[in-house]
Amino acid sequence: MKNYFIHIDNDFAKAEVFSYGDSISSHHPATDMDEIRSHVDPNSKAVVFLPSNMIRCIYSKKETNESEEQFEARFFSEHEDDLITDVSSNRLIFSEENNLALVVEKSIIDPLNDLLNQIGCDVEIYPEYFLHQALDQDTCLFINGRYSFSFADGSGFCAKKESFNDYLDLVTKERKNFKPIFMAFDGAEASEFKQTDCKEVSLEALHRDFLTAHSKKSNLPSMFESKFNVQGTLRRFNFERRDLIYSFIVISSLLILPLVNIALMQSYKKSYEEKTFSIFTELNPNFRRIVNSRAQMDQLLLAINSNETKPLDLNVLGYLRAIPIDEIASSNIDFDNSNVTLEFDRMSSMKYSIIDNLIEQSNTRVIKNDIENTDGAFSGSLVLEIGSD
Amino acid sequence: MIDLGKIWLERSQREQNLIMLTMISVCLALLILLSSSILSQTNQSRNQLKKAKQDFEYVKNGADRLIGFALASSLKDQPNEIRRIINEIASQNDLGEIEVSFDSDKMFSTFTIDDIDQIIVFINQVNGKIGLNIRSLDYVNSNKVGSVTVEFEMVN
Repeated sequence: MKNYFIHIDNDFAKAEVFSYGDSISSHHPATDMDEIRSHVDPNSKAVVFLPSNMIRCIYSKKETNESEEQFEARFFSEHEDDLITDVSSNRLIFSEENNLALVVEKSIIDPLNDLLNQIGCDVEIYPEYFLHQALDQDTCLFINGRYSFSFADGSGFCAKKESFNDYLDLVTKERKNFKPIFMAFDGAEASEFKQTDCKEVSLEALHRDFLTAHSKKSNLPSMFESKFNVQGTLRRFNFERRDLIYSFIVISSLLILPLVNIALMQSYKKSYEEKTFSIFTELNPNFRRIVNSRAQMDQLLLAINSNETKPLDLNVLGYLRAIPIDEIASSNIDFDNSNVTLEFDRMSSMKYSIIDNLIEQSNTRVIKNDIENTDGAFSGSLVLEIGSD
Repeated sequence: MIDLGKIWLERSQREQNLIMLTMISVCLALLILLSSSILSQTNQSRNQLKKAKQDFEYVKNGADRLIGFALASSLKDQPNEIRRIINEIASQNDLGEIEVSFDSDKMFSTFTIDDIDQIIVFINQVNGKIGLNIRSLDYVNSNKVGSVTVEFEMVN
């Protein structure tokens, strides 16, 4: 599984995508937000970092007897004045483990969530300062023209380069003993921190450290909200256009085939009714309509003597095929009584056993058996009654 | 125009879940209703088709009997015509040495065959062209030559 780190820029228009596979890593700078999907494989892990100034990180503690709704209500009532926009237009994400509340405007996080739900990955969205957070230590990372601060209490912020000095003055006043470790890479200037500890790092190393630290279950509060998304689901299942077409055909068939079956049966029924009607019109050209075909045919048959016109019994005729009568000396079939008399004249035991088996398997009953076995040769007569089926 | 998307977004998570649950239930109910309706229609059509087929076979059988009776009645007093038709059938089916004789309400045809199927074809064709029904069949196998005598019933 690949791991992706996506850094969103300040104006939310571009992103920087880092990919780490088993052996290959890649980097896509200044990627359009809509293009992120094309650089990320589905079913991977994607860690998305938002500039920390887009999120308000507030140290807060939830009472043990307090429900989530109660905490949210209390939190917003306490910090209403800190929020620029209306309370309802903000989303609160709270980590009980870290006693950290993240407040982000819905207008920022919702479109991002929608976009990331389309990539079909396990996504986590964090403030960017989580990347260089160190235990009980203030750190500062210069990244993409902004200074990202992580404070020892777990909160963080970021300042643009232009307002860095003003922000630093403010922070120094607010926080005593504020001596952050400055982290820089790619030759970024460290002039503002000449007097403090400086540490040369690479962004890839920070990413790998982050992955190692949170490889199992992350206790960091993620702002990602997973929602059902057709594109994301299709990507997650690796559905290609061909698969979709096949699925569509199968589902359509499941719906349509029963209806086709009904239509076919109705068509055959109509065809039988038409043929039945045509038989009546052939017998009587003045015939108009069928009410009860059987009763109407019975009425026509009343005119003739039924004994004289018995229907041809094809079952008995078919029986001629079942018994190999050309192997038998002579045979007689009485169609009126459905009897078959077979005469054997010194038939070999093998042939007789074959015929005997055939008789046993067929729908017949032996009425009379005068067969005699003389030195393995079978002679005599056998009378069978043929069943009606 | 009602903006459904806006209405949806204005709902709380709990309301959204309830709406989704309701929609899924309605869809399931519709699916079950549709399946049940299709199943019922299939059964109904199958039964109708079965009845139409049975009726057709019954009527066809009756019609065959009527036609056979009409044919047999029309040829009742024309033994030469019956003989001519039987000879024609025999020559069409390669039956050897055919003899036709009449005895009151019976007609006998004797011929030799090479294959059992020839008997079945002969009986069917006589029934179809003259309307006579078979009463009995004698088959004698002598030196691998099959000699057959078929007894037909004449119409009174």
